[in-house]
This record gives sequence, C-alpha cells and structure tokens, in this order.
Amino acid sequence: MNHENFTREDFLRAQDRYKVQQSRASKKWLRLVWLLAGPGVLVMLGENDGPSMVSYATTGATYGVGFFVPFILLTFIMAYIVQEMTVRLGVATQRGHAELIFQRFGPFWGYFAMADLVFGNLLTLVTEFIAVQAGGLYFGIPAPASVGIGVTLVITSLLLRRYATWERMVMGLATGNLLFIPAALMAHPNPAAIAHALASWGPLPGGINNAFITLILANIGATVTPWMIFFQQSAVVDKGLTRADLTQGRIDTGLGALLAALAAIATVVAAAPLFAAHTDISQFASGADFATALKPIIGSTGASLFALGIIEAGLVAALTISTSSSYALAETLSAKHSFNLDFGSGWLFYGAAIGSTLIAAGIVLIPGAPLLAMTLTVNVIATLLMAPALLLLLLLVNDRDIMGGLANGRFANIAGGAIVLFICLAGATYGLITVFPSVGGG
Amino acid sequence: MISQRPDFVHLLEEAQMSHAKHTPLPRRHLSKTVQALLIALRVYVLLALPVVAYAFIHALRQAAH
Repeated sequence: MNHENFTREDFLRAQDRYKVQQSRASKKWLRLVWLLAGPGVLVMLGENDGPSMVSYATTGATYGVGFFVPFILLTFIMAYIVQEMTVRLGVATQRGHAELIFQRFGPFWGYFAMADLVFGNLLTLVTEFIAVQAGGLYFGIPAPASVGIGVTLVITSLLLRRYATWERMVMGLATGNLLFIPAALMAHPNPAAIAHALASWGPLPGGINNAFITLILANIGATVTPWMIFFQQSAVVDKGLTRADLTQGRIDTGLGALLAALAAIATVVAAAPLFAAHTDISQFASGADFATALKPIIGSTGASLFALGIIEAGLVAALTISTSSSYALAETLSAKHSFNLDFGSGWLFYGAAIGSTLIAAGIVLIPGAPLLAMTLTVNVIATLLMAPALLLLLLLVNDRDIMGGLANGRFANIAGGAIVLFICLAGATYGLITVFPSVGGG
Repeated sequence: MISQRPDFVHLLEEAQMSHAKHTPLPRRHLSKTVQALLIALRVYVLLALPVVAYAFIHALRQAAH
C-alpha cells in the first residue's frame, strides 16, 4: 500500500488508532474506554440541551417529584436502545447516516430525511442560543454579548481541525450539565419521595390532560431526536471506531445515557419546590426565569448553578447540533466530512456549521421573536420527526448486506418497533387534544 | 505535529480510508410493505406539523392577550 495516497484525515485518524491499539495490547481497559468514549457521552449530554432542560424544569414545577421521574429514566433507556444501533451501523459500514440513507434508499427518501433534519436542527439550534441568551441575562450579560460568545465558541472549536481535540473540548464543557445535580441537592429533596416515584410511577397530580400529553412529548423529544442518530453515527466513523471497539462504544453510550438521566432528573428535582410553592410558571419567558424563581428557595448559589447549567446546555448542544448538520449536509452532497480535514478540503463541512450557527444566532437577536413559544414547540416537533427517522434507522440496521453479523436481533427490533409505535401514539394523542381540547380535559 | 509513520496509517481498515468512502454502496430494493410504511410515516409528519403550527400560533395569541 502506497502511503503517499493517505490524506491528513487518514493520518490523524490512524494516530488515534495507534493509541487505541497500544492500550488494547497492554490490557489497559480503563484507558481504552477513555480513549474510545466520546460520541455516546456527547450525544446524550448534548441532547440535555436548552429546550430539554426547560422541559424538565417545567415538568418539575408542574408535577413535582412523581410520575415523570421514572418516565425520564424510561426515555433514556429508549435513547440507549436507539443510539446503540447507530454505533453498530457506524462500525459495520464506516459511513455516516445521511450517506447510508441516500445510497441504500435513493435520493427520494434521502431528501425527505435531510429536510426533516435541517428543519429540526435549525429550529433546535435557535433554541440553544435562546438558552445561552437567557442564562446570560440572569448574570446581567446583554443578549448580543452572550450570543456572540456562543457563536465564537462554535467557530473556535472548528478551528481545531482535529476530531479528537474537538471531542475532548466539548466533553469538558459537557460536564457542566452535571451542575444541575448540586442545584437539586440544594432544594433538599426527600429521598423517600424519589424512591416512591420510581417504584410507583406516581403521584400524577391533575391526571391526564393536554398539559400532561405536551410534557410527555416534550420529555420524549428531550431524549430521542433525529440529530442524535445522524451525529453519533458520523462521529463514530470520524473517531475511527471499528467492530473491535463495539463494547467500548456501547459503554460510552450507556455512560452518556446514565449521566444525562441523572442531570435530567436532577433538573426536575431542583424545580420541584416551585410545584410545592404553587408558583405560576405560565408567564416564564425562559429557563433563566426558573433560576430567578428558585433563588429564594435554593439560594443564590443554587440558582446560579441552575442558570450556568442552562448556558452550558445551550452551548454544548449548539456545538453538537451544528456538527450534526455539517456531517449530514456534506454526506448528502458527497463532500468530505471530518473534523480532521483542513479548511480547503472541508470547506462545505465547516461552512455548514458556521452558516447554520450564524442563522440561528441571528434569529434569536430579532427583537420580539417568540422565543419561549419556540422553545416549548421544538421538542414536540423533534418527537414527531423521530418516527420516520427511526424507521429508516431500523431498516438500515436490519440490512444484512451492510451489517453482516451486527444486524439487529429480535429483541432490538421489538424494542425499536415499540419505540416507533409509542412515539406515533403520543404524537397522535397530542394532535387529537390540540385540535379537540375537550378530549384531554382542556 | 502529525506523525507520518507508515505503521500508523496501516492501522486503519480499508473501509476507514478516506478514498474508500467515495465508493457508493449499491441501492437496496424496498418492498411494497416498507414503502407503504415510509409513506404512512411521511403522511403522519405532514399531518402533525400543521397541528403543531396551530398550537404554536394559539399559544402566541394567548400570550398576547
């Protein structure tokens, strides 16, 4: 093999593989997990984004500690099942999700999938900058400054031109998602109430109504969304994971799901005192309003941690979602797509991330834009778009021509099919009670 | 600094090489059932999005009042 043909992308990926090979040979298993972790942790903590944390806070303030605590755990189990499939697809095919859809199903279904992704990602990216802006306002930072810092961070991360460095930088930032845990502890939660909620799936004050169904959808949309599928598969390929790394890829995804579930439940718990105090959250304009309302209850340190967590959630998601769009767009147009590319080779990949970031940031700064309504609606849209994305994923992961022995087994298919059905039913119920509010009790 | 030692690059599997990714995979035949499922979910999304848009506008009007 003539290594004159190797590109910068190949050399950098091979350099990462060398470290993996050394760790595997010397049986340093923890180091191996550390080296191979990344896509799973990032996708899960990335999905604990601005609108997701607002959804969890709204859940805690509306229902307290009860039904939604085990429900959120269930959604992260769903997320693990779905995302584990993307790891298998990535290591088996060494292709991104968008290019697989185009190549295996043709452009008709490919463009539909891309339209869903671009629409969902742009809307979600807008809400990430809403979160950054809202968190910044809590600390007295003007909106243009905090949004500008967010944009600068995204562009700076792209200047690294190295997948491994980009990944470690975003992972470092993503640990900020765990700020919601000390914030929850400052709310002095009752461990018995949390244990009771986990065991009994209750209480559920108010029963099943329109608000309940909306929060069900918002909480699903806070955990499983199309961008996650596209991002993790492409990141697994960009990182260079192979079939030999599948176990570590699964550990990475499971660890990410666990950390994200802890942060999500912590957010519900942190906001639960607002439910106990019968606080009216209907006029809240952003996630930062939760921090302001919680300040007299959990103290200024707890409230600041909450607001910082909201900023972090927006920033990490802005980095991962813009990357998801970049991978998918470049794959669709058969352009090069990797963080290991130089700017000349990867102009479309880098340009898509910068372009989508600038558009989203610009929308946030439009005076009078309905930012809160957008935040609450985005997760619902993500849930609705998830059903067709999941079907395409299931078709690909059952495709033995490309998956070989890594194709789905019976359990994974039953679980995947049940998730599609569940999401469709939740969406249909939402549609029914939106059009006919009397069905859901108003 | 990027190492260009050949033993590094030979650690990559053939499918991981950037040149290998330009070869498209063959198109898959979709059965009638699969096509029907894909169309059904597409219709589901097309029906659901206007409902979300309606709920969004309704929420905006309520907030305005």
